[in-house]
Amino acid sequence: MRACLLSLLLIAAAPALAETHDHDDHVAEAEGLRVVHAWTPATAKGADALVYMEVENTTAAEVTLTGGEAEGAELELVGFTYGAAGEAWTVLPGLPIPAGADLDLEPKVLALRWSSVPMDLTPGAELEIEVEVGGQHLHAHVEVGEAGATAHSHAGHNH
Amino acid sequence: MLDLWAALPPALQDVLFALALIAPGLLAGALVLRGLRPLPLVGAMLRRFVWVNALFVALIAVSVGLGVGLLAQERGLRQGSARAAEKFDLIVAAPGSEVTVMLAAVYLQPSDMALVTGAQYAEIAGAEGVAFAAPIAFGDSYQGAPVVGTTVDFVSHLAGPLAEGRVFSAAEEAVAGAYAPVDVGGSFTPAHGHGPMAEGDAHDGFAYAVTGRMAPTGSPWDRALLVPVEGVWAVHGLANGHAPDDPRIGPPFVPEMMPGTPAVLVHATELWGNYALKSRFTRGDLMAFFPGTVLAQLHGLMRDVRSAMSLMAVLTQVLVTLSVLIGLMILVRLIARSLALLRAIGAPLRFVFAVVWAYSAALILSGAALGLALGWVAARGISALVTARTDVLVTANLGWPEAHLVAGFISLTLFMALLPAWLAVRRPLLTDLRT
Repeated sequence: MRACLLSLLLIAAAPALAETHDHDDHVAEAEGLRVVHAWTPATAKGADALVYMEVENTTAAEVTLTGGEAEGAELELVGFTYGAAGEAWTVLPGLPIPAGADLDLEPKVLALRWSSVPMDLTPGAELEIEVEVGGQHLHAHVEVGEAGATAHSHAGHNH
Repeated sequence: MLDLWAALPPALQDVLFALALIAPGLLAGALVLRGLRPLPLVGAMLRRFVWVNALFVALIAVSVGLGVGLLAQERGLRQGSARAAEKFDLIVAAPGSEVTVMLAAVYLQPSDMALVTGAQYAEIAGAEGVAFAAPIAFGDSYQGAPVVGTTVDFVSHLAGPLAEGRVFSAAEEAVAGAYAPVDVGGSFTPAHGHGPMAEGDAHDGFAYAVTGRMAPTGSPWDRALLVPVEGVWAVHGLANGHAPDDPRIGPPFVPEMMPGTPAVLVHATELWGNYALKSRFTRGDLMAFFPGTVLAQLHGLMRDVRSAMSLMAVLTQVLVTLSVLIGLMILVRLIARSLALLRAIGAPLRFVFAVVWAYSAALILSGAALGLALGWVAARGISALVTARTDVLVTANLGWPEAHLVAGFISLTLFMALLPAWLAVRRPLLTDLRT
């Protein structure tokens, strides 16, 4: 009888648990550092993919975001510039995130660049990447959005 | 294959793409003309109907010229506006619309804006990694030219070494933009506000002496008059950012004595510092943004318009050419007897076909070439007009996109020209001989 009730409880709770799991997919956290809402627009094989996210530093010390890794390839931290010659992304050595502050990697500002992706990144797919920040390697899920997307599908949510 | 294409230099990709576009038309021409010499006859036809031909060529030229001119102009405007914003690394202002602040601070389009306070400015200027933080205080004008309060650092950053004279060293001195309406050695009294409603006598009794002139920057700042920000504050009866007995101009300012500024240009010691500073000053009471980002987003929104414009340009050209070809079919009816005589004296059908096609091709190629020239002239003319009206230096030159447009047009229309040639050889010989 107890087993039966427990089973019913688990079945009833399954959607809620699944929801929590889905939301947790958007967050990577370790020792006061969080990577939230990592996403990238759909990218064809061989092109450069730009990965965007929010990095939160809830520790009491400044940390530095330096880059990351995906499928064994380096993710470079790049900054956007725009002039008469057009758009350009320049490799940055690292960016400090003060204690208690956030850093937004967003289109046409900052990104982690994955050069010459080895496969098509199609809308709806998910990737696993490592984000190097404050000496930590945070494992983050990256949601692949539409090719022309300008924000994460959950942008604005506080999780 | 795609990897190989991606590995090619952009210039080579452009050349190959242009060749790929024009190749089908040229190939069709080579096949039609192979082993034949129809050009003397085509020359005679061009001379015989010179006015009609001139009209057809003009029609094609105008349609090609419009397309080419529009594309070149759009690119020139995009590059010119981006060039004008290049020196504005990071702007910090009170929260509001980034577009409004960008238009005001970069393109000197006046707007009512909340001010960055003295304490906020001190925090920005004192932040780690800031090379300089220049107030940009606008609101006054002289003969339509904006009078902008700022610092010596900003003048040097914007235009480099002065073309003439020296930079201001007192609150009553000014540096003129390259095309500002006051010469070095002259003086002016600013009007309060801009445009027809500006109060010309609001600052009577105060005058700025112009001590130097900047080199051209290709931006609206070329028409501006740059003055020490202390002068702007003083002329409005405000504290001048310094202790009462301090005659200095420029930072550091005393926060309590600083009336505030609509915008602050921040220049970091290192490139990466701009991104860190943007992140730091994006918060509830301040707004930090890169004008380049805002501009790129605006230009990105226009990308669809640009694509639609290109498509419309091609369609217009094709429609005009279609009209010309229909005209040619009518013309072929007029010369049907001559063509029938040709056939009667033994000219093969393929030769007659080649004569009519080559005649159409001559009109198309002449029209396209003339259209390119017309587009270039139109783009230059419109650029000069836009530059004069906006003070943003727009230089529209023909580039690969225009070459691709014309190559695609030529190829398509050379194919279309096969139709009147085909209709010409299908005409009944005996009927045409009797007419």
